Amino acid sequence: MTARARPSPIGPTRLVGRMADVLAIDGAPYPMAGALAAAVRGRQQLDRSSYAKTLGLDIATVDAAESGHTPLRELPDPIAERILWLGLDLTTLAADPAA
Amino acid sequence: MLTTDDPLERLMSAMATGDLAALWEFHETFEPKLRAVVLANIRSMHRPDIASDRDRVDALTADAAVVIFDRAAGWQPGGAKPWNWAARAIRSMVAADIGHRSVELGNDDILDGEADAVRSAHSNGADLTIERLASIDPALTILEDAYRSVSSERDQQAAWLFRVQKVNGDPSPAHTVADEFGISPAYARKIHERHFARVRAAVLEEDRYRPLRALPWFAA
Repeated sequence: MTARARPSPIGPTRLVGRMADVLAIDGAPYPMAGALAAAVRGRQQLDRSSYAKTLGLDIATVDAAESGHTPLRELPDPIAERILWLGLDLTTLAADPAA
Repeated sequence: MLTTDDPLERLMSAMATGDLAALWEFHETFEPKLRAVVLANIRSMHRPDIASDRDRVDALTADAAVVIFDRAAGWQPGGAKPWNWAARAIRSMVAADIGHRSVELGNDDILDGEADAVRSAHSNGADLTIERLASIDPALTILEDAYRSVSSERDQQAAWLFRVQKVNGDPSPAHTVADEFGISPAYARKIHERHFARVRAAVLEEDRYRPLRALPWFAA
C-alpha cells in the first residue's frame, strides 16, 4: 500500500467549486463564499442549529453565509477563521468574484 | 433535521433538501467508497494512466459525490448504498470526463442560463492572483511575501498560472503554461514544481513565515 505524503487539496477544492456551481445556478451573488461557509459546517458535522449555537451566531447569519449572500471578506469571523483549515488549494479563496 | 442515527441516511436526507454542508460531510465520510467506485469504472474503461493519476481520481471522486447529491431525493433508505444505487450515473460522469481529451463533447444538457451561471461562479485565471489572495485576508500577506521571495518574476507567474489552471480542472496545465510563456510543457511543469518547493522550503526554514506552516499548502 502506497503511503500518501500529504493530503491532496484537489478533491476538496474540486468539491467546493462544484458547491459554488450549485449556488451560482440558484442565483447566489457570492457563490464561492457560500460554498466555503457550507464546507466549514460540513467539516463540523453539525446541523444548522447546533452549529450556530457552537459558533455563537444566529441561524439567519449562518443561512445568509451558506446561501452565498455574504461576501467572503464579510463572513463572520468564526466561519472565516475555519476556511483555511478545510484542506483546499488556497487559490480557491481568490475565486469569489466580489471578494 | 436529524431523524436517524445512521450517518448515511442522515446525510442523504439532508442532501435531498439541498444542504451543501451535508454534501461536504458526505464526501469526507464516504470518500473511500466513492473512490473505489470511480477507480473500478476507470479501470473497466482500460485507462490505467488515469487510474494512477491521483489528482484526476481525487477530482472524479468529488464529482461522484455531486452526482449522488443531485439525485439524493430519489434514494430510499434501506435500499442499495447510494454509490451502488447511482452507479450508472457515476459511470456516465466518469466516461464523459475521460472522453474529454479526445472527444469534443457538447453542452446540450446544460441550459444556456445555467452555463452562464456556472461560468460566473469562477473568475477567469487572470483574476486569481496571489495579490488578490493576500487582499482577501491580511494574514495571507506573508504568503504573498513568501511566494515573491523565491524565483524570478517570470517563474512566479508561470508557477501561479500552472496552479490556477490545475485547480480549475485544466487536464494539462503544463501545455497551457507552455503556450502562454513560450516554453516546453516539461519545463513548465519543472518551473511549477521547483517554485513551490522553494516557497515551501522558505516557509519551513524562515521564522517570519512560521504562521504559514500549518496551512494545507505547507503542512507535513
